[in-house]
Amino acid sequence: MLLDVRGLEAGYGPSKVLFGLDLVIAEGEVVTLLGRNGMGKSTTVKCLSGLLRPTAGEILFKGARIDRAPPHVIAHGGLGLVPEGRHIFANLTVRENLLMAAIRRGDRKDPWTFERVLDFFPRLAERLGNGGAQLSGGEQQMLAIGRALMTNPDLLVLDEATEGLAPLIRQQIWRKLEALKAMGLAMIVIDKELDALLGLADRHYVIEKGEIVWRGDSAALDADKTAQDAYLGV
Amino acid sequence: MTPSLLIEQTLNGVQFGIMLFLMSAGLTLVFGIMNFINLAHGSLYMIGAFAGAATQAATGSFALAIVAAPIAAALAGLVLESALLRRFYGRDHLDQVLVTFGTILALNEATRILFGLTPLRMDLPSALAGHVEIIPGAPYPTFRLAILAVGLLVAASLYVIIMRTRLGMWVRAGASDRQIASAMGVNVPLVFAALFATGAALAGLAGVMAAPILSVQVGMGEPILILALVVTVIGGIGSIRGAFVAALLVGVVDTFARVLLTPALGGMAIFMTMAAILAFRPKGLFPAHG
Repeated sequence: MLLDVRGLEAGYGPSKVLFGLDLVIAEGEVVTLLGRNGMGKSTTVKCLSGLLRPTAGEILFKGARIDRAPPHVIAHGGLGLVPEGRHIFANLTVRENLLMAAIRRGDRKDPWTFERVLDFFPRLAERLGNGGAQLSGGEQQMLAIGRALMTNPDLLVLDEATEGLAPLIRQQIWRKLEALKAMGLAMIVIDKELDALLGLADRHYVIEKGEIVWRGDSAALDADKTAQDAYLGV
Repeated sequence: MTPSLLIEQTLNGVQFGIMLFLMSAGLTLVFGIMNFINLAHGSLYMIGAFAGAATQAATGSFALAIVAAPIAAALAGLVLESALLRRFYGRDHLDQVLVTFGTILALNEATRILFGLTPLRMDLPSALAGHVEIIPGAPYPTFRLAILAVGLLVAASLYVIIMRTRLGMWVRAGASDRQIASAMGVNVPLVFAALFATGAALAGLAGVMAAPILSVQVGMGEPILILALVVTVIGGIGSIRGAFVAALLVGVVDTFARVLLTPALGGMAIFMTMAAILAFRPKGLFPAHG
């Protein structure tokens, strides 16, 4: 397994958010974390990327425990993050936002380089000298994904990557994620656009009050209108 | 004001600004990246001055004193950071102010025990003790010009490191969003320790450069700390470019205000300048945080 999360518990001070969450992801697999707001999706992402220390449970990434590792060690281990709200470094140019994240790995046949990221997102090549704050929402999202790709991840975690974007831009982002899947990159995708997720992902996890309450593939989720109504409010 | 006095006071202001920049550079980056207020930064300036004066007294060499001061301040900064201050990064600002204020008192007392209350002096070598005639009839102290040159050189090097290298990108990314920089693979604690030591070395360098002009005494770091904090706030917390512009501004405004206004009003000028700038730019001139 690429990622194996067992009995994860976490929270903020006295308020507990995750109550024994389990999930697994194989290499090259795309899975989603679904659920209404406040159910623990972003808290799970923070635990995976080392930004929040779990209070109990284990996270095994490529066979090694990472639940006590600091964020930079996890990033160097191959877990890439596209954070909710994009968090582009506003005081760095587009070029610098990409180059600051570059992590070289000897084991890659076709590594992500600055040039390759610009080939993947040609729009960014036109904006290299611009500051992060001068970009449109769609450009910022491309930059956030490109920046995570510069770390040469084995697993890409995308938290609300299409939130707040115009429909046309959202379609572009979904196409890029399809392309990344075709390249064999494993992904955890958190988003509200169920139709797009059903097309993109292999499997889905539904979180309700900090626990996984439903799991299955796209065909099963598409067919299970009861689960959709109960947990996703669609 | 005569043209020669205008030039002399402008040079004094810029030279004072350069000293303030050396003091503020570390302070603003530490504040910007780790959200940590280090009031003990002024003590590192004092340590630099004492290390320089003591080295010169022991060896007779001014050059050795200039080298020893930033090294001593950097070492003191590293010890302070790793043994004490690191534990307060996650705490609120009041805790940080209290612990670093306590550090000032402890370091002042330790310095008093080691060196006594009589101010030390640093002598200039003959090459730097004279005057240079910049324009006819307006001699200017050579040492102050040397401070200007060294300060500009350090500022330019720092600017290149911060704005043109990968380390600089990490520092600026950390100043903008520490958590996300860390999630992109930046070893923020290591970058911060290096930054803290560099900031301490620059404060030590400022201290030893001020030593021949001011007297080297216990508590000499506090007045300049206040000015460095003003520079940090005006420039925008975490911005090295902001610190440079604000340091020159504060240096020139303070120098001219003290010449042109009454002493009381002169002392207030930089605070009035800060209030005016913050009224229009509440995050300072060049905020690092988006």
